[in-house]
Amino acid sequence: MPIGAYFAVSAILFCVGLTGVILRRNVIVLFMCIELMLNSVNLTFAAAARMWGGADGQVFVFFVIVVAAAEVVVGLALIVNLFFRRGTLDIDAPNLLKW
Amino acid sequence: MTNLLLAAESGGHAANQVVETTSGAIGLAYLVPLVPLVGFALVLLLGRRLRERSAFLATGMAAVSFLLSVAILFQVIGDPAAHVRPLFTWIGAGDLQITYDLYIDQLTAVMLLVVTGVGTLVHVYSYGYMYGDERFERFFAYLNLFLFSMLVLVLGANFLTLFLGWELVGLSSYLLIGFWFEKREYAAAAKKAFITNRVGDVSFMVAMFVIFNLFGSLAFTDVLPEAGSVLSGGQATLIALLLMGGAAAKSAQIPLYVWLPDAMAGPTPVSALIHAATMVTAGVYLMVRASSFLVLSLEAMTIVAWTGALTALLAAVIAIRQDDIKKILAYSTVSQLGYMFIGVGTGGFSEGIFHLVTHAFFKGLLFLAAGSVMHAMANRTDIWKMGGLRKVMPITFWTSLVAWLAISAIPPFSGFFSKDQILTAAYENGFTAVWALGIFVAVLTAFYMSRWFFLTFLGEPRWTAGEPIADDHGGGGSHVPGDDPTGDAPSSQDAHVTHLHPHESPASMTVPLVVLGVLSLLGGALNLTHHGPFYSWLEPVVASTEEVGFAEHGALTEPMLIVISVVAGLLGIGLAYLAYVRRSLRGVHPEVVRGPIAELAERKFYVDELYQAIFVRFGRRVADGMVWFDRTVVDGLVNGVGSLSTSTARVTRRSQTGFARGYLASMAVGAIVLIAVLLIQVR
Amino acid sequence: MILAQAPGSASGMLPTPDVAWSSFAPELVLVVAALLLLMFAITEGRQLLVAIPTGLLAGAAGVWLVTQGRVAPGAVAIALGAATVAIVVGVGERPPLVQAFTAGAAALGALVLSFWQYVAVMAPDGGTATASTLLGGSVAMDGISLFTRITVYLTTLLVIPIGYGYLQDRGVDRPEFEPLLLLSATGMALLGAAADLITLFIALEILSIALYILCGFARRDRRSQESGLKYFLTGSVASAILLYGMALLYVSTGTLDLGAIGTALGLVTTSERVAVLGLALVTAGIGFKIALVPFHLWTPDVYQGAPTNVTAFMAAATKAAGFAAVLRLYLLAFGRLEDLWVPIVAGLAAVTMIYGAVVALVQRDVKRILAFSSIAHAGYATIGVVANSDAGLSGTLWYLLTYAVTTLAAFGCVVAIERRRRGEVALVDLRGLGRTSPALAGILTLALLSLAGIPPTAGFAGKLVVFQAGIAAGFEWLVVIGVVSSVIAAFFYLRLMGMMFLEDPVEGTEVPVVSTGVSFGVAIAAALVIYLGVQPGVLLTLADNAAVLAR
Repeated sequence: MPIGAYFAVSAILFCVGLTGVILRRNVIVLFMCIELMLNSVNLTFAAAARMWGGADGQVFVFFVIVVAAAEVVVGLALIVNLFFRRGTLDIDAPNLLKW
Repeated sequence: MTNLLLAAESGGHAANQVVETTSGAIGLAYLVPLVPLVGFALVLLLGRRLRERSAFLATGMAAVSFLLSVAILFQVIGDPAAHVRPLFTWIGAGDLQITYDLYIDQLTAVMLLVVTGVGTLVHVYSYGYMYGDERFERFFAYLNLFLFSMLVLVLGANFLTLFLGWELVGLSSYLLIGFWFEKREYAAAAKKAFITNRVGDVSFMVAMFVIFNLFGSLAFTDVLPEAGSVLSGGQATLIALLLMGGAAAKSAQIPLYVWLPDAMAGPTPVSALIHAATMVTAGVYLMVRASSFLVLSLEAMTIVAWTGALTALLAAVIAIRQDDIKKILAYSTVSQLGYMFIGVGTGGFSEGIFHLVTHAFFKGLLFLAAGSVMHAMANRTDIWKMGGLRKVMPITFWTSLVAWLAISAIPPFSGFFSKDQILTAAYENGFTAVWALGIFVAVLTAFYMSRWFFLTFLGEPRWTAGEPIADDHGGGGSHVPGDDPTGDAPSSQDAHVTHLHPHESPASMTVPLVVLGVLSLLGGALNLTHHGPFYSWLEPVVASTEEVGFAEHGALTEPMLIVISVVAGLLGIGLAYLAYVRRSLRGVHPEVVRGPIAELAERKFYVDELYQAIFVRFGRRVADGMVWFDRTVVDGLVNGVGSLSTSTARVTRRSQTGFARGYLASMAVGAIVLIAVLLIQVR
Repeated sequence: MILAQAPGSASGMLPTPDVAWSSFAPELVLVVAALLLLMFAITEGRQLLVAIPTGLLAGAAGVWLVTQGRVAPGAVAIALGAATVAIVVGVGERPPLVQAFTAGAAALGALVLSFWQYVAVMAPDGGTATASTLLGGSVAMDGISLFTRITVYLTTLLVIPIGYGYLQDRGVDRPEFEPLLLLSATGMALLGAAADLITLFIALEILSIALYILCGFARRDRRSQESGLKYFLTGSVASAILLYGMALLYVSTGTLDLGAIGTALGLVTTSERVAVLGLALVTAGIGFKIALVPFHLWTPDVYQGAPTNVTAFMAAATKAAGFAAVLRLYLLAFGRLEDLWVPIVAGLAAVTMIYGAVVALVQRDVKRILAFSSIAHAGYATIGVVANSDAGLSGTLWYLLTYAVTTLAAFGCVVAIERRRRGEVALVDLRGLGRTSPALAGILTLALLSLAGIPPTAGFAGKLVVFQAGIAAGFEWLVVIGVVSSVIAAFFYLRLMGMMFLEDPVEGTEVPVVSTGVSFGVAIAAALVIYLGVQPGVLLTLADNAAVLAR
């Protein structure tokens, strides 16, 4: 498989993730979309590392995975807090601050 | 004293040598602004304890500054040069080297004397005027702060330190105009003044950046002597006009003059100090300081001259239709500043400064006299409700008389010499139309000032002693020391009603009036002939106008010009006399109704008719039109800038929907647009 | 990547890593302090059990450092060790105070060590600083890292006392606050020092994740909760976009080192199209952090909802760190693409300046006004980036420092004014403040004047330098827009001042509570505002000397 295909797939993944983030309202789904974007990045890095024959791209992938895990922890805490306070997972529900 | 030549100067025009001076009075020059600053801090800290004694402290500080300024003047007389007093490095990093130096030459010495002299007098005056005000000591603190700011401005040795003072005076005048902030429109006036000046600051700041970029320095000693060799004509025009933009805001020229009449909301001593004698002249000072740029560009000078002339005309016409004792003076100030700009624009730099000095005397005096009248009339300001105050307040009357004749340019009063010399310079440098306009405005000036004077002091009183009157500003004016030793004004709570008992003001107010009266009378002696001592005193400071390329002037000789000026002044007074003294008071005060023009007018009745036609009917139209123009178009423009931004903001804030997904969408769209823009370029 | 490999040892043994400890000494202090604070929280009541061993260890390490000839860091270690024990002994019965003092001491220690870095490592002979990259090219020691550290640690040092009483009043003084603050500061300092994409990303995430929590720290308050959640969602999407941009840069250049990326982008063999995609995405991602229009929309909401002391921290420190990354990315990595990014970033700066100033005009909430003002200020600072020169570099760094002290003074006053009950400060709450508490009103006025850029305040000195750099680089139009924007901005700063001085106080409103901590923090910030305005020389020269980029 040519290297370009990997990049194409990861670009599609990224766009899917970004579109999902904008269109979906459920916070959990939003969260999954962000994960999708991060994983498309991982795919890009891994493929590029293979293409360039260096290790640093792959190292980066590990860091991204770790950071994504940390983000999940914080994010889920915030989401649980939202659910307790308002009983909803709708991202548009918290809308006190505007204009 | 170490004399070292810092900058060479081309021959012909005898320019100042630059010397670094750290000895004598100039060595102590930093004390001139510092002393009022210390006064400000002390009064602010100890004001509660000192109460009215803080006035003595503040006035003492101002007086010390004045004495130092006198000493500096003597040193400059002994050693005429541009003295630089180095202090410390303000901003020093790489290319941007700005030192904080003081710059003292003949022009600075003059400005120092005017600022500290009039400043001290106003301090003395304020003791009587503000006595009993609940924030009496705060007022003196602010006065000292203003004095400090103005001195920083005048003493700055580069454009940036000048700008520092420029902003500081804006700030302290904001505090002083809004001093009686209990009234809403007063606070609004303070704000308007500040904002309008900020508009000018844009222009000034851009000018500084341009100067720095072309010269690599902002110091007067580096920039001004080199202007001719560094700049092309277009660059000089640009810089001159940018500086002019800043000066126009500070010195209330078209179209940025709107703040000055509103600024009369401040206590009257403030109007005398800031809006007549010192701050508003800062623009003129800046233009004269930067005369080296102006003389490189005839276009810029022409624009400055015409701006001044049109401002003078517009303000004078408006002044005719004002009834407020201070508003008339405010428009008159705008008009007189217009004259100073005519001077600057037509190459009469020293003449402009000369008018600045005499104007500081007589307009400061007029404002203080107006304050004295308001003090007597329980803060009433409508001149139609005055009249006959001549007998009640003799000192105020006689000093006002001097100031009135001075501003009307009647010889031998000081205003005659300075105004005439500006117009002569305009005429001789080929600005005949500007000159003619200036003469016409001189007629108007004499007319409206006479109206002011006649209606206030002459005729029958249009008030009755003992009538109840609403006092505008609480404990503001009507309490004389001794009236009310406890300081808690009876008017402070009970609905601000006092009873009208006009009286001469206390000595602390009349003494400054007399001093300024003497100066207004004799100030012309500084420069009796066009190229007199004051002119030669400033000659080394200002740029030579030999290279400008002025147009040829007309056939009139200097004596003829003088005669025309005098006639203009007398004509204005005569017309006002006919209009306001004779018509309303015929037969009541026969001794007032004597004079050649009045006799003439009585024999030839149609003059009255003509006057009616021109000045009352047509003139009223024009004046009303001008007032409308002022209110609607100019105010509208200034406010429009604000409201346009506000309405834009109302629409734009809608982008802030509060929905996180909207924010994400904005980010995504932004990123996509970026990608698109970039990819198109790469192709 | 983090540790440098010593030149290969042939013996087959593991190579000994040669760690340049000096390059992250300040961060080390903060991380240790954060861990210590967590230990304190766990061992509540028996904090001496933690403090004494820690103090002894720090003291021993300090003594060892001194014997090694590194006197200054040794002294700092000893002092901090002693301080730890002293604090626990002194105020041990009040755990929140222990936390605050320990965190403050750590921030102070980090600040001292940052100066030591400059004096002893970067410019040992006192002249122009030399720049270098350490730890295998991951961490840079240059002007950007130095100035970011100074700004961030100064902010941390001042925010801790300002927020101490505030958190207690809102009932959210939980012990994890200070550790999170310190970690976030660590991330910011690292962001300023990051010389490759991995370090940059990690640093960004350290600072962001800690800030997500801090924004939502008052979790019972719906505004704070909303602020945290919004910041988290937008922030992580922005991170993802940034990350994808980095990935594309890696695809086109094959390296993660910023300097090497810069070199590779100049080669003809490099695919420019992919690189440009990366540039666009990186601009969007990092533009989010520094709040450039149109990536700014989160700023007002998050600033308004977050606890005010956190807002102050974000406005002052996050902005500085974000700009540090921007400077390094654009001047170093994208140096060869300047024809492409300079006009775009200049356009963004122009829009940002106008937008921030204009929209602030119609706001009613003081924190929101200051948030919009921070957007406008991001625009001004960007002028220095666009100038793409040494003068611009030092100008931006200097500007961010002046903005940090100014905004700290402003938000410090807001903290004092904030009515605890409502958790917000509306414009009308400022009415008559000049009468009821003149000192506070005076300081807030000073801060507003500085924000408006009026001499002789720090804000003026800051604007002057960046505008000058902009003009020198030929961006007259941008500077004119900047000056115009600052005039528009003067309207609403003046509105605040007018509220305080030209209005009567509302009857029966609470007088602001000025705690000792707030007075301390705000007074120092205000003093700096004046000092940097009147005598900018020392730090400006430092900024100028430090205007060297580690390549």
